[in-house]
Amino acid sequence: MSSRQRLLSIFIIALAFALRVAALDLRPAHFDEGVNGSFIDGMRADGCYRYDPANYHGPLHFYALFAGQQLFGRSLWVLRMPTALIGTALIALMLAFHRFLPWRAVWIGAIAAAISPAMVFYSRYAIHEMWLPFFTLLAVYGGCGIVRRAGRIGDLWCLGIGIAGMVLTKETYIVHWIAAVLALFAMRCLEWITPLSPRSQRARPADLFEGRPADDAEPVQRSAYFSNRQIATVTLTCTGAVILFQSGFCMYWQGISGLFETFRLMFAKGTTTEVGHNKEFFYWVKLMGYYEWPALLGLLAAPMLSLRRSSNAATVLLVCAAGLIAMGLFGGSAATRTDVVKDFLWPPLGLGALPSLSIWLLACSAGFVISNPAQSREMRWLCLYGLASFAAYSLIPYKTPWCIINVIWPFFFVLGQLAENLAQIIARPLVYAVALLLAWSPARHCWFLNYEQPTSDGERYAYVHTRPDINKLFRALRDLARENPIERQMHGLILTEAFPITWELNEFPNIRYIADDAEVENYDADFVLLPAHRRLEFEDRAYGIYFRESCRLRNGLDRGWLYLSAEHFSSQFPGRTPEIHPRVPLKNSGLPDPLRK
Amino acid sequence: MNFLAAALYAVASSVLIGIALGFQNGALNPKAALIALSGGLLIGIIGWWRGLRVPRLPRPGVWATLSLVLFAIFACRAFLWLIFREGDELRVLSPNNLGDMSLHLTFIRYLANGTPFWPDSPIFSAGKLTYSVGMDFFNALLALIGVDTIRGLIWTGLLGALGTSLALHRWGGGFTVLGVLCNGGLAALACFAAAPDASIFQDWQTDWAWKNIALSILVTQRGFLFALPAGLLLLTSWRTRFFRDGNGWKMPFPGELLLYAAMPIFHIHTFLALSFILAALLISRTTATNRIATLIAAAFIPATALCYLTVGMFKTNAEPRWEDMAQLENPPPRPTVNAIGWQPGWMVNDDKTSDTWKQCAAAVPALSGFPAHGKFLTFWFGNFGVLPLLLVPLLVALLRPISHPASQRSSHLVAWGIFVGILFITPLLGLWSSYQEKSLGMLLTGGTETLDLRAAVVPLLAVAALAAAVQLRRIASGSIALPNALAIISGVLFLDSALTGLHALNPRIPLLRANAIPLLLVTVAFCTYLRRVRKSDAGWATHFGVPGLFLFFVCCNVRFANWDWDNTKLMIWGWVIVLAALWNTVLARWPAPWRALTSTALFFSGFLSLFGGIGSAHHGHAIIHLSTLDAVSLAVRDIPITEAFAAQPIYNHPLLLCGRKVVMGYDGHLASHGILYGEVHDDLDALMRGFPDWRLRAARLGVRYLFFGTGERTTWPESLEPWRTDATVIASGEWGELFDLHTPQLPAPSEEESPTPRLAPPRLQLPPAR
Repeated sequence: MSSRQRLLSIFIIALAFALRVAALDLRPAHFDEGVNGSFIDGMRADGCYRYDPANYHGPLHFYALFAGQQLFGRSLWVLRMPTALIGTALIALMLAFHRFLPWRAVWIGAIAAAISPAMVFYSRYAIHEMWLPFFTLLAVYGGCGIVRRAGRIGDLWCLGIGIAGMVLTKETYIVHWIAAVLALFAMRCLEWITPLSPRSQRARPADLFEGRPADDAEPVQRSAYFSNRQIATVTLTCTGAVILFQSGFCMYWQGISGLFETFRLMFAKGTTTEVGHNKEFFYWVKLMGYYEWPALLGLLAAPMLSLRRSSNAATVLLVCAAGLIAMGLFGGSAATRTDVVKDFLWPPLGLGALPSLSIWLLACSAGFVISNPAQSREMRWLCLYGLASFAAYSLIPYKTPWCIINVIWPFFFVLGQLAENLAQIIARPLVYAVALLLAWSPARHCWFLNYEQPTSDGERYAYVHTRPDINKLFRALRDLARENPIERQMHGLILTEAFPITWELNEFPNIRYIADDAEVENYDADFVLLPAHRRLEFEDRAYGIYFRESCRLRNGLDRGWLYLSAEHFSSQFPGRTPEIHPRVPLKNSGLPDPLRK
Repeated sequence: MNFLAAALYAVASSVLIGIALGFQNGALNPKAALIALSGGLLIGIIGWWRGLRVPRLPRPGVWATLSLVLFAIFACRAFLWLIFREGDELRVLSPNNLGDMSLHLTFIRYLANGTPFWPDSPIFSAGKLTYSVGMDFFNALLALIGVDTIRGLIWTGLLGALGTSLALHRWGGGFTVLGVLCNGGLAALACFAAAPDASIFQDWQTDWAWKNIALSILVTQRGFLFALPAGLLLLTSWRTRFFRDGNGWKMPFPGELLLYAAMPIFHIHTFLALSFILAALLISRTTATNRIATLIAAAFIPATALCYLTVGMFKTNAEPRWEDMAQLENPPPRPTVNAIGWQPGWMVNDDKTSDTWKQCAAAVPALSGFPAHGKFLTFWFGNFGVLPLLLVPLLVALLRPISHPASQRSSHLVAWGIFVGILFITPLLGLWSSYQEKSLGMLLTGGTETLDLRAAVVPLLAVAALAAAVQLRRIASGSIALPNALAIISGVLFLDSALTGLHALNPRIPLLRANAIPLLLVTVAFCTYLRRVRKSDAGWATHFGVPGLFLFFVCCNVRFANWDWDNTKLMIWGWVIVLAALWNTVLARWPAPWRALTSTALFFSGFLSLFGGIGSAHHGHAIIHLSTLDAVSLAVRDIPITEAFAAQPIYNHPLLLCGRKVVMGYDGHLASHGILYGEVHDDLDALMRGFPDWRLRAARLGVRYLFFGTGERTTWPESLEPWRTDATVIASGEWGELFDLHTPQLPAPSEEESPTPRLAPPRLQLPPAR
């Protein structure tokens, strides 16, 4: 790596780090972050994370959060820092791919990932998601090194750690494994159908969709294999790590069986119709079209860079797609009365999914017609892997927006390769100008999404996010507790969604969390948070004098009300007159009873 | 390793600079803490930079890596959960840590509160702070610059454990790492007798004398977090410097000096152990005499000064009361620390050994006829497993370079014979009450108390033995064993005579007890070894291993702390030295299956105990309610730090955890620190009961403030509480009440009288509402 490349790498990593870490606590904790926080609070008493196969998330993230919280204290910065660091590490890892891919392809891909709204937004988010692309990329990095037979033991460790990390992160790793194997299989088949010309005969590419190997590619050593001892060491270590984490460091052995049990539950959940999270087949494409133009361009270019010109394959796919469309249309017309299929691309599974899949097949068929594959094997595999995982994620009806980061990262490499190829045939400044124009939209979205309106309803990535209104409660309580630690003993009553409040206010032991429709015997509390429909009930039964604040906790919930006792919080609202006073029933028998008419 | 050494330099320098600034300013403050930590950091960076030229060390092998991983798992569980908040409670994970963590919190907050230097003891206000307070001092420095105390404890714990594991590995490899992590004997055999549904992962050793080191020492003794890595690095460095011609990892001389000289303030027992090893090397390793002498000479003054502080400037105990005014001319001296004592057999008579033996005897009635031997074997094999058996080949291997060539062939046989003889004879001696209780002279003269007879007989016996030895040497010049034995007997008898004579002159000089003879003989043997090894080409294992074994043996006879179990703090050094020597000279030469078998036998009990001690059955043990702690902190905020409080003597009293000084803390802590607290306890008891002379008692204790809360009501339910009428309540809450005994309560105005004008208590002036 030249010093110029090193400087550029440092700049990209610094940019990624700055974007991921700046104002990390700007938006309040999400519901899911609160849930994760509560899990790690539970670990304090349990001593380990008790793996729940129905939770579909591995233990690694919880241990990372727990260690962070124990070492640095309880704050949003601490909670989110592990994923922010992993998000930055992912960019650094992308840059390390210059071993296998052209430098320009790598750095352009890394910059695209560094400013990607999804990558930045979900790196600033204390959920498991960012770990999965990181470990996947690590495994891919190791795999590429092994395939090259460079003989580096580090490659073997990268593969092992990557695979173990995927298992310990999220059960959707199985999707990526299948996609990776299918991509490998497809690549072999394509090479078998239409062999590429020897590398030495094509020193320079001359076409747009034609990749070239890395600038400083190492000579392939056919004899560089790993010894059985090395393979056994890595395998045993990584397996041991998985067993240790899954078993809660030997404190919860059921976690091992849960590793397999989870797939049954996941399959059941992933294929059933759920109102909340089930989305259309082309949900990811829509998201990419809105936020991730570079990735979308990569998605479009991926078939061209990976497939071979083959009229036979194109015909087969075309016929399959036509058949599926016919079935879909037939199924759709048959199901009209039951209102199952309204939209051509909806719903994702069942008969309605077939037309969606057929469109995808049509696109691939077109790819077989116009493709001109990349010369680099790694790039071809990345394209195929990206397409396979994209197809798999699209087929699964259960979709949450954060999963997009598992889908898009291969397409950043594809985009980089595209830019590299373009730079070979047209003027470089023009390529960079196009890249800048292309980067404008994600950069703008990245800024607005992360720093301007991080909890806005309109932003699809800010999925049911907690709104800053909740800080009215947190700030008031924390300011009081900072001035006088005894105030931590204040009594509170929360009648709305408990997360993330349970984690945020964990230091306040006297808070009662009650379901919003449950009966409340006693409203005697120093602060009360309740939904709008219980406002009158509380104000009728209030014991003390309160300040009242309107408060909308998160998108998707109605506005609620926050009541803060004037006795405690008057210093927080200087000069303000409390709005709520107790309505004491009249005890004077000489006066008429107001209830009697 | 270089980085670890640099980190230790930084910690040691920070504490030393902090102490110096504390004396200069009169107390610690945030500015001094910042300067101390910055200075330490600077020294650490310089040390790290200077050590960069050290060649890269070999990577650990598979087994060493596994042992380090095991250590890492233990450290993460033990220290990430070291102390945590659960609801309104502050909890510690380990029940062993309930008292210790409370004491450390007390010291940290007390020092951080700016107590005048050298501080009075917060747990015994009549004396000076008597403790190796270095790690707590470091945590106090961190607290002063704004690091949360709990986080500071967790960080230092984790880093100390990390340093310990690396230093253990560098000193003795994976075997020694496992030896500290999974030490134990046969205690876990009890799992076969446990209930079928009981987990095999339990701390089986918790009631035994030789507990799991990691659980009972590393987690609870904060000083070891510095002392273990620093001491092990010193041993490693000395080994390289004195035995390997400097080939390998070693510290620069200033680094060695810093860590060795600063050791007393971090852990005085470790300082004693290192000094002993250094002294042994000074004598035995002639090629390194100059370098060792230089190190000792350079460290002498700072180490002595720190020892002086650690023993509370010899003001550990309270000033003695005068019996009458006649003592004005010649006041009684302040009592010294009650630390060192005679205790042959260490804890061989503890309850756990007796109970276990009773169970064995009940299970196999044929054994019940040998209670002395049974208890003896139960203790040593129950605590140390197969290790005593391994000591025989170890000793043979260690002494081979200095033994006579003719005797080397039969050395194993002789050693095993001596070992079996010791196993047979020692329990019998334990049963012999005269041997246990009387002096050698009394034993030899039939237990007579008459000094004349002893004065006549014992020297005569000594002279006779000496003459016999000389004659034998003349007659049979080839024989050395018998003349030497006679000479030793003669020497022992002369010593007994001399001590008897001196005792007659000054009764404070002790007599030579009969049960001290084994130690005396072993000491003679050790001196002989030192003389011989100087001329031999023995390796590091001999030069470290034999003193290590001797140190361990001394600890089995002499108590170096008031509480006999505290000897473990010294024995652990013998243990880690012996383990490294054992692996190097014996086990490493055995076939792999034998090594595996031996390691399993040595460590299985400790392994089960280790995981039992950190397992999911532990959910934490509450130290205190945070609401109470916050409220009491607020209540005493305006009271000067120099004021002592009268309160219940308990380890987790809120006043202590706030960092305040009490008249008397937990008696377990006081006793283990060698503090004589009897008179103070009586005065405190009388004060809290509200005896008529309670004001006098309070004055005698130097107390102005009295805390009376739930704990006090439980301890003194019959208290008359006269201060309720005769003193002023300055704060009260659910936690209790705080009385100012110097401020009499003003009489409440009666309804008829006009209210007496009085000064209003100072109140916080709120800003006017806008």
